Amino acid sequence: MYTKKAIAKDWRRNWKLYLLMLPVFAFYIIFCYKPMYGIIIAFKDFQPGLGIMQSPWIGFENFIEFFTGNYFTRTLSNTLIISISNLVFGFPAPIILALLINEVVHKSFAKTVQTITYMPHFVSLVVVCGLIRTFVAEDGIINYIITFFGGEASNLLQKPEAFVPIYIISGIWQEIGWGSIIYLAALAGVDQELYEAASIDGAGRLRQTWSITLPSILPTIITLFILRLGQMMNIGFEKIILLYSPMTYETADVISSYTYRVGLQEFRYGYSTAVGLFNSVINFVLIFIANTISRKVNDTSLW
Amino acid sequence: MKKFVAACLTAGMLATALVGCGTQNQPTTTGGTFTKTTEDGYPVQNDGQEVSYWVSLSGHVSAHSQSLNDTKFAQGLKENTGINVKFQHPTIGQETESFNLMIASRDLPDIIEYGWNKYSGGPEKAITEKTIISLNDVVDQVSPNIKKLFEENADYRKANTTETGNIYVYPFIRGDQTLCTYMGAMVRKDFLDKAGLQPPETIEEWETMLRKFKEMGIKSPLTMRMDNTKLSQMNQFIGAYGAAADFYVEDGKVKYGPAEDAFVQFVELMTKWYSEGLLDSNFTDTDSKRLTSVVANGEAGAAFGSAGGDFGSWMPAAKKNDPNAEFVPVPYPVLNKGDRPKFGNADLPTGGYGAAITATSQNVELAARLLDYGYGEEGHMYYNFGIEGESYNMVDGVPTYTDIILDTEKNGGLSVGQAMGKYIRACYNGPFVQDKNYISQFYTDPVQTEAINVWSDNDQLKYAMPNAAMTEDENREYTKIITDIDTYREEIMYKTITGTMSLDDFKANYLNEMKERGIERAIQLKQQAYDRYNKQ
Amino acid sequence: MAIKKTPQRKIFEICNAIVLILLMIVTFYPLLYVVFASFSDPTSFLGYNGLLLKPLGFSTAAYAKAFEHPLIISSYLNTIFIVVVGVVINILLTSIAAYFLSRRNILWQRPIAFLIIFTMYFSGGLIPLYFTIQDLHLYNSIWSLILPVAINTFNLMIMRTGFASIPHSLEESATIDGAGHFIILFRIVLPLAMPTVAVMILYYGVYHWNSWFNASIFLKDQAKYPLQLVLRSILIVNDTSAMTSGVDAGSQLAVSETLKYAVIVVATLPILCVYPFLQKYFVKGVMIGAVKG
Repeated sequence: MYTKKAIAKDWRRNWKLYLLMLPVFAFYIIFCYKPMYGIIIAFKDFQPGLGIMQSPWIGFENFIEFFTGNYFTRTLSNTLIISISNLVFGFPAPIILALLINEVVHKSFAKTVQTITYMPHFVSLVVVCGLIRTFVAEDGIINYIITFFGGEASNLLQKPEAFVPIYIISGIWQEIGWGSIIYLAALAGVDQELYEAASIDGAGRLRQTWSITLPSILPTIITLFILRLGQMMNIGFEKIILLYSPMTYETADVISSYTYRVGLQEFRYGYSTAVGLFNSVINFVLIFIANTISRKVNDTSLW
Repeated sequence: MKKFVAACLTAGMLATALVGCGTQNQPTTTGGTFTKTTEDGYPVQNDGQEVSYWVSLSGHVSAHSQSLNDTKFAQGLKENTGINVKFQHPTIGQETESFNLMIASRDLPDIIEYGWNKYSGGPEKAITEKTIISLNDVVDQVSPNIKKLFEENADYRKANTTETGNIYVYPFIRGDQTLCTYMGAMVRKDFLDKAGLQPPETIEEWETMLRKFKEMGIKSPLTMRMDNTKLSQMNQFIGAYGAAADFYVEDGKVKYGPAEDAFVQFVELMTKWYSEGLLDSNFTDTDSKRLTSVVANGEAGAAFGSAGGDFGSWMPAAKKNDPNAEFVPVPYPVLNKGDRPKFGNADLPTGGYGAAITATSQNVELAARLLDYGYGEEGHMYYNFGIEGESYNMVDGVPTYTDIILDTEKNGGLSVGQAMGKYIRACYNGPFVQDKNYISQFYTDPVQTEAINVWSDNDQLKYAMPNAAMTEDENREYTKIITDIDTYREEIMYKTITGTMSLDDFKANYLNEMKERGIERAIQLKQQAYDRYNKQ
Repeated sequence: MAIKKTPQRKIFEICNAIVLILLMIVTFYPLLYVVFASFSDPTSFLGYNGLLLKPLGFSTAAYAKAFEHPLIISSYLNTIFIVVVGVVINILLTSIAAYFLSRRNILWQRPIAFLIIFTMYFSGGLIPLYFTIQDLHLYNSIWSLILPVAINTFNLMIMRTGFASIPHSLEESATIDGAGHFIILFRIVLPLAMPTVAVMILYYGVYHWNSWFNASIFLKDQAKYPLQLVLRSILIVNDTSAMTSGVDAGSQLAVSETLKYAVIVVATLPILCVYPFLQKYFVKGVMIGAVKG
């Protein structure tokens, strides 16, 4: 494929495009690839005074320490459970909201819904978690509803089995509106004449949604889905440590919160870089697989 | 963020005892290479070279000044020492990142004031990497004040010396146990009066009081937090059973409270109190806001917290809800009436935090003279009380702050700590010995001052694990063990107290499991460090 | 649209409206709570636990505290500069890259896309980046907050998807007319992809508005600080639990709780106002007008 001839031909045809890309190449080389040598910190006993290159190599010691910890399996599986739940429930939520807004006839109503639902995104995590705490406390509104239906009130944040639902639902609550914006933008591009043609053909609204609306935003959905798969291992520690307690460690303690606690004991770059690298490799493998499948199945891919 | 900051600070405190260094070098001897060029006494004669000084900007200062340079303190320090010091500060909240980048970029000032136990690899490594210099000769030759202090008090020197015998900082030293103590329990005095009880001294009296409170309709008679970041809080009750909640030293042997029988007894007590509803059911909550409201609303009869940050804001809030609300500090409880509490709350007087001179400095001698100033008589008064006639006056032989510090009307609406920040460094830290007369005037409410006296009346410091440096390898092994153990201990303790796990199971398995997870090795590592410390 | 509504359709629309209204209530409350809390009396709020349906008492102490900071005005201006210049550069570079990646028949396109996505996962961390910034003499310059984040790869992928959905026939006819890539990109592709561009403006704008970390590392002069960094330092300095060593006292500390909320209001209100201006691009059918016009 990359024969001399093909390269020369490509250059003749596209040299202007490559030229146009120069600032983009420069950005990636200067700010992403040039500093990338820092990854070797994961394999080094990094000493700030010696610098990255001079610090002694220690091979996989940082990784071994991470893998052989007593809680490695638990934090890994908790990470995956939370990630997958988030993918299953958190990912479709903004799509559904965008579709519902799309069905609204009154434009001003649609705009109001958008404007209000996207607001929680801007409230800081500390405050959001404080609110969650208030909602699920023993005397909170959620327990009020539970007791109304004959259940028993309890502090839900003390219950290991309630942690993941609380985490996921509050995540949806905070991000659903913000997440839907990208889909609304994609929906704005759908040719309205398609709908008119379809309704003349006698297709109902549901049918139209299924055969016109969804396919037209499918590339966006797939792109975001693949990108999301590539974030499987990333669960920010901030929200976790704001919500968990030793009572819920068994479901709530994830890799990032555990390494955060290790970090409190001492201050080591090498170890945290190693954990970060491990996560990145897993993420990258996942996105690689997802991308390959997607390219084969429906010709949408990131590369 | 609140929690994060608290956690970081607490981690800093924990780490004080943990971090060490790797190489087994002999003390760096540069004897003879150092020539003394200035005379003793201040101001120091010099050509006015700038001495750059990196230090975190305290909240007490940033409330009114963008830099220490803008304060009366810095101006006076320059005049008194004759040294042209120029302070520089990292961004507030990003001190650790800024520090590490500064070290990595090798663009160093003359002086760096920092918690050196946090240096990756420990203080010894900071010396071998040529970030800072060993101060042994500098102290010996051009720092008469601190030399004298170290000679009079070997513990001050040991706590700021690497395992190979290098002094690395002009340390911050708390000159009295009342300055090391800030946490303890307070009880609602109005509730006690109503119940006809005296403030409790023994565990039994505590139990009687809490039960009585419960009968009086108080929802959560006792509220306190027990997570890892507040480990020392547990000294409140575990201490009565003869162990601290953390590492401590008894008869030359290092011990870890949570691996002792005392801890099991402590958990048993808490389980009992929890099941009777005496312990706040929200104690598992990691957010302090909810606990705060419990105290402020009079739902709690006894609470545990710091005299300043916690009770300083809880007491006015409680008074607002109930004008009769009065708090009385109570001592750390004991088993038998009349016993002296073995454990309480106290940070180590010194260890790891202080001003170091960098290896790239061209002004070592001037820097040393500047730093030594705080340990002399004149400097001691200056760092702790400021300018006589302006920020303090001598009243009956006691330095007493003036109204421009203590009176909110006259200092422009600042808190006492912030007003102090203009003149002195006693309200946070620095290279000097903190004076106990500072703390007795610092708290605005006499109850707070009383609390410090009551809470520090125990033998905590006698048993405290000193700042004994571990080697880097020791530290790595230790960290791995202790992180696992902390997670395990916290989890099982919470579950037992709340009844999710049975107390019998806990009693049967807990201590064995701690051994399985290597607690004995962790204690051994600590013991090694402690033995080395003692030999110095 | 003159579509006759069936009864089912009517029921659906009513249900849909109810669901959306409920969602609005649920998502609007956090913001209301923040506003109420920020105006509450600090001491009362400290002791309060539960939902707020109005401010507890009334006090502007928290706002006074936030605005008494000498840097608040300059930091607002810095942030506005960073957002405006930053977003212009972001959109320029991202659209060039997205244009390149969405074209057909480019030999090196896939390897380049791969190398770009690779950077989403592997980076050298803070220290090498810090040295790069120093080498480029960007340290302590406001450009250190703009250039290192000139392209966000995640956003680039979204923009590329947006560009790819534009009918290629339009570009091809322009190429035949002899238009250069610049003309095609800015005269044809960008206007047609306006909804996506609006999303990008929002994403990048909010990113610049909220970011503080790079500023805390790459800036030295406080006069260059952006808003979020100043607000952050106000919060930290006033944080009661930061005083773990018990070194502060008095009721003045209570304000730290309400301050947390006032800071959110101060920091969020301006950026919330941007959205309605971008919203017109998300309206159904906006594309058609662009094509036909």
